Amino acid sequence: MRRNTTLDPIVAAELDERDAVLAGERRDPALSLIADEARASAEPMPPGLALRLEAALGNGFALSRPRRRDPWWSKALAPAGGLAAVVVLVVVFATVGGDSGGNSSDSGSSSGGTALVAPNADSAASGSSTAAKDTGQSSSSVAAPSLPPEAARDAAGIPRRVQRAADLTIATPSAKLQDTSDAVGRTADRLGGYVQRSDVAARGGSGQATFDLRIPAARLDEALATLARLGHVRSRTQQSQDITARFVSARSRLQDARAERQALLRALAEATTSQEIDSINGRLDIARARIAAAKGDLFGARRAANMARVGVTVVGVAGDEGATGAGGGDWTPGQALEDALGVLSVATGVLIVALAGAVPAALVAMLALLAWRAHRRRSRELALEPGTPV
Amino acid sequence: MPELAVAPEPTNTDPPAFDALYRANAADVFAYVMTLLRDRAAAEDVTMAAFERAYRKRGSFDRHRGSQRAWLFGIARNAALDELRRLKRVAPLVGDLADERATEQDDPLQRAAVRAALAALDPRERELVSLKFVAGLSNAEIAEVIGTSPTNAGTRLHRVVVKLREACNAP
Repeated sequence: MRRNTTLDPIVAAELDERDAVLAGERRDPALSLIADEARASAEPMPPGLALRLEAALGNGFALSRPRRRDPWWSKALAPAGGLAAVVVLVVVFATVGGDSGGNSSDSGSSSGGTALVAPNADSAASGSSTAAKDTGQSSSSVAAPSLPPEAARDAAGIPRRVQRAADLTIATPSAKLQDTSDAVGRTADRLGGYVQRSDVAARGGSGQATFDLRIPAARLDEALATLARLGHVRSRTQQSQDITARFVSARSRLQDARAERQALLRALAEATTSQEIDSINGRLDIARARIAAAKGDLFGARRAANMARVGVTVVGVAGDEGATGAGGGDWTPGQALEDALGVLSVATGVLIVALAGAVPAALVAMLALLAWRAHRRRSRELALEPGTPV
Repeated sequence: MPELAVAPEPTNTDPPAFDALYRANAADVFAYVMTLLRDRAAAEDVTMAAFERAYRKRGSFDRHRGSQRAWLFGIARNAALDELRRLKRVAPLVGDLADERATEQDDPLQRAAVRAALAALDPRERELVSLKFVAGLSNAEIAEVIGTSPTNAGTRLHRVVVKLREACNAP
């Protein structure tokens, strides 16, 4: 290690004087004597050595074998240590990365079988919606007007509630039936929806998969566009039904039931006889049941408006129908760009992880090398210590 | 007093330039290595190894880090110290060389005193004397060879010269 310390001025002056004497610019008999004796005591180079060096230099030292003064493993210690550290780090990162890397399989779809979900309020609400239609339902084979659940208000200023639904049939090559089915589920998940029910059946060279999806109504159009790109669209229908009345009815019933309960509670507080108390309690039970029912109807109506039903049928066909869709297309430039961006993001992630592993490994290797060099330097200096066996 | 002959610095490390570097410094390098090892056979081997190592590393020489002579002597130093480590021995008794000449009857007393003082130097001090007075390296080059600052090298060299002067002036 070199320390930059200031030289004593007297010492510096004497050194300059000495250099001047050695250069012949000044006379100092004592210093000249020292220099002469030092040079006289220097061993002259043996002629044999000079000849060997001349010959070796002439051949570019090709014939001279490198003499190993130290055991080969002593020079490989530091690099081997660094390499071992790199291997350990790579194994650690690979293990951690493998555990955290999850499969991207969708959670909402079930493939190869039927997954029935217990009927929920949606099914019940859709069954009762036919009795509640007043503005009527509209269906079309093309995209219906996109009505958000509360886009408009009726004459009374009450927000409109619209229940939306769509059905889509797409064809895909039989070999891609499973992949396409998986993509349907992933689409639902990605858009904030879920698969209510799915059924995949493969028969010989063909097959069919049906899905009952629930998609947030605000994202229905996006969902239909994405699903249409999964294969060749054979049919597509959309329906919308105004369920404002159903919603209002459920809310009104809920308000009435609550008001009745409040009144009964007041009456119960003023009741004096056991007959009165029993009677009021009985009516309170009825009121509570009405409240529960109204709440359920209101929740169902709200859910029906917020989540659109999407029925998807994927038909596996032989040949190339679905490989090049006329309507939706199998691989559009936009999809290609999306895929390319996906590949880029994965490659970037791999590079970042590799760098994250390589940088500390390189630091460890460098530290090991520096330590080895320091050790070697110290060992060499120790060899000059008089009386010190190395 | 003869001036120290310092060979001109080769401008590159191509084979002709290396050849010039060798011719200008071979004898001094051997003398320096001999100073460290005090064994002729070992010094010959180490000198050979040093020039071979320098030849193989000639492409890695960076003139911004110092002179080519200092670089060469640094390689020779490391090779000599590695040899010392390998043999696991210290340089022989310092009186070896002095004994050869002490018997000469016609040497002035002062010259003999200086010679004895030179022989009595420890390995580090002998190294400095060899680099300065035999090889003719500057203080900066010496510092580069032994791996210290020029100030530290100058101070150490000054101490050695003072010690030798005292021997020279001793009654």
